[in-house]
Amino acid sequence: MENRWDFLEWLGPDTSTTVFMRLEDAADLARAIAVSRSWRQFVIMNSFSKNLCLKICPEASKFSQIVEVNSSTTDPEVGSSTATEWRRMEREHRIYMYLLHCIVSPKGFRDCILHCIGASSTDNFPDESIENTLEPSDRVDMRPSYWSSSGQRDPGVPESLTYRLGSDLCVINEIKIQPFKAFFQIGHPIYSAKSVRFWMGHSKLSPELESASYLSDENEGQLTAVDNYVWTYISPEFPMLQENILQSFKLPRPVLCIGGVVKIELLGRVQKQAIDDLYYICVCHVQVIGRPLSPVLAVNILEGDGGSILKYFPGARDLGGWHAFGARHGQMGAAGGCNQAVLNTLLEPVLFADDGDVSGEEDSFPEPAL
Amino acid sequence: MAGSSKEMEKVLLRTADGGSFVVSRCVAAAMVAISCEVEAGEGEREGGILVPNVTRPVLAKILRFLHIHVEMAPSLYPITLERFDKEFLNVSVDFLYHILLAAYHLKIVSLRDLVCQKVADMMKGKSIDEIRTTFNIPNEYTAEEMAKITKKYPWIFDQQLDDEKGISVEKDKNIENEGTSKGKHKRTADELGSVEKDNHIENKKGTNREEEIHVESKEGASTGKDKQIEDKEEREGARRRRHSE
Repeated sequence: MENRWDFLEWLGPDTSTTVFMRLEDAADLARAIAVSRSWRQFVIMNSFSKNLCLKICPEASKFSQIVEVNSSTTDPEVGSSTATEWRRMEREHRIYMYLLHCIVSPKGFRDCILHCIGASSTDNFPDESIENTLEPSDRVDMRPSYWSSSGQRDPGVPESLTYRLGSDLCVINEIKIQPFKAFFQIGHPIYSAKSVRFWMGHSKLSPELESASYLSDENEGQLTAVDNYVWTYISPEFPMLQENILQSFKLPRPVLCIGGVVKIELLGRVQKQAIDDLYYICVCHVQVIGRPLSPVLAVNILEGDGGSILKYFPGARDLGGWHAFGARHGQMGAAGGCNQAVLNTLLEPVLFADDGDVSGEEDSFPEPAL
Repeated sequence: MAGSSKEMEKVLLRTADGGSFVVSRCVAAAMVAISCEVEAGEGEREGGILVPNVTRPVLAKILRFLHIHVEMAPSLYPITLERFDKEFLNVSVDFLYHILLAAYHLKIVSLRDLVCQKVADMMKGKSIDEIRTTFNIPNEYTAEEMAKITKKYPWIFDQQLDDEKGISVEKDKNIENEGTSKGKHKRTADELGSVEKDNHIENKKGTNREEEIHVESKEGASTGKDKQIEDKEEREGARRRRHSE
């Protein structure tokens, strides 16, 4: 027996697949393809990077197509169908490897909220509107800053706050919420909820409808209506404390928000207002902590049940792309609706992952023999 | 159920190279590939059952595994079973493959999964050269080809590039440690092959392993522990402990 202990040669494809499927770190897969030509071919042709991605983030199965976009002119696919298939698989492998890196990297966390879409109800519009939740403090210029729901006799009536994130594709790890303590009321009641749940997905409405100048008491209901959204992720329920602190809700795993919309569902009311004996929920501040994936990754959501297209821009590290994106949203949310400070932060390039000079060049060194 | 009189009846198993084993029926039936013959009572006949695709030493090893996991398991703590499994798989790589192949052919799913996990663990956290050494795979890539591959995954192979650009959204202790961990990674000229020429890639790989271990354990404190681990075997053990967490 020769001295080579290459399990790919010893064990056959079925068992070798079982071995590779037990790798949990994308870096191990990346190194595997550099070990030998046969390993490279095996890993790429069996889509292990895609499998690992779906294992960590099942919502990635919503990508019905993945596409690489290069600035260089792409020659039409030439060569045999095998060679074309190989190139397609290799591209798919590379894109899923990058997506995996984005999902698990510990760097680059920030508040991803770009602007507010709307609340399920608001007591005094616009004084107590959702816009106030972008402000970390509970008061601005001596004036209290918080969102308040409308009052209800039934403490079981839920509420929701819906936000637009700075990128259509974000990896979200954590959400922070600070309930509001009414420092101007006797007893300083804290109007928290019993528990919270998070929904992520995309909007079916056109982007213009979300600009703050459009948001008003009358159309808030339309903007937040359930039918206008498709949710690709719903979190478990987290208990909320009745404490005036910025409470952290860590998601059980990193979540891909495909479509850039996050809805915070506030379940169960705990605090009545003395004057009218009604239950309210009030929130002082909200943060959605994660990592925006533009400009290197973007998503096109197809209508109906067509899924969505994941686009990979390996050369996209230029600031121009960011500024154009930010400017568009800045125009929409110019009337105080867009959190300018957050926008400025988002305009900085996401430098957590160095994209190097990765270009979508085709492999020109010999393909492994099939 | 194990322990009933029928289960404890003895059956005879033979291998093509002259091996001969008397085991309980329940142990023999755990090898799904021959369970029909076992149920049909062929193990009690004079010739016993000829177990295909396995040699005497490998079957002996497999029967030991099944004896513990099928007959003894009800009276053992899970931790005892885990310790047994770990010790059981402490064999040479080629013997490990023989066990795995036999488990595959004999359709013993639990053993197959266990050995597959072990083989996967042999790859985890290792550099490319270490993987090649573990599995005795020669380097078939030229320096140019290696550079081309690693260039496509800069976030894994080019940690140093990030540092040059002064990127650090959060304080990353690994970047600070890079200077100290660079020299620690020992390689021979043969193992490096053509990659040796590019010192940058070599150093990046050394730092990347540290960085990736940091990502896996997700604790800043562990990076400090990594600095102190000098001996390669200790490093191996540390890596395995983290994996088993």
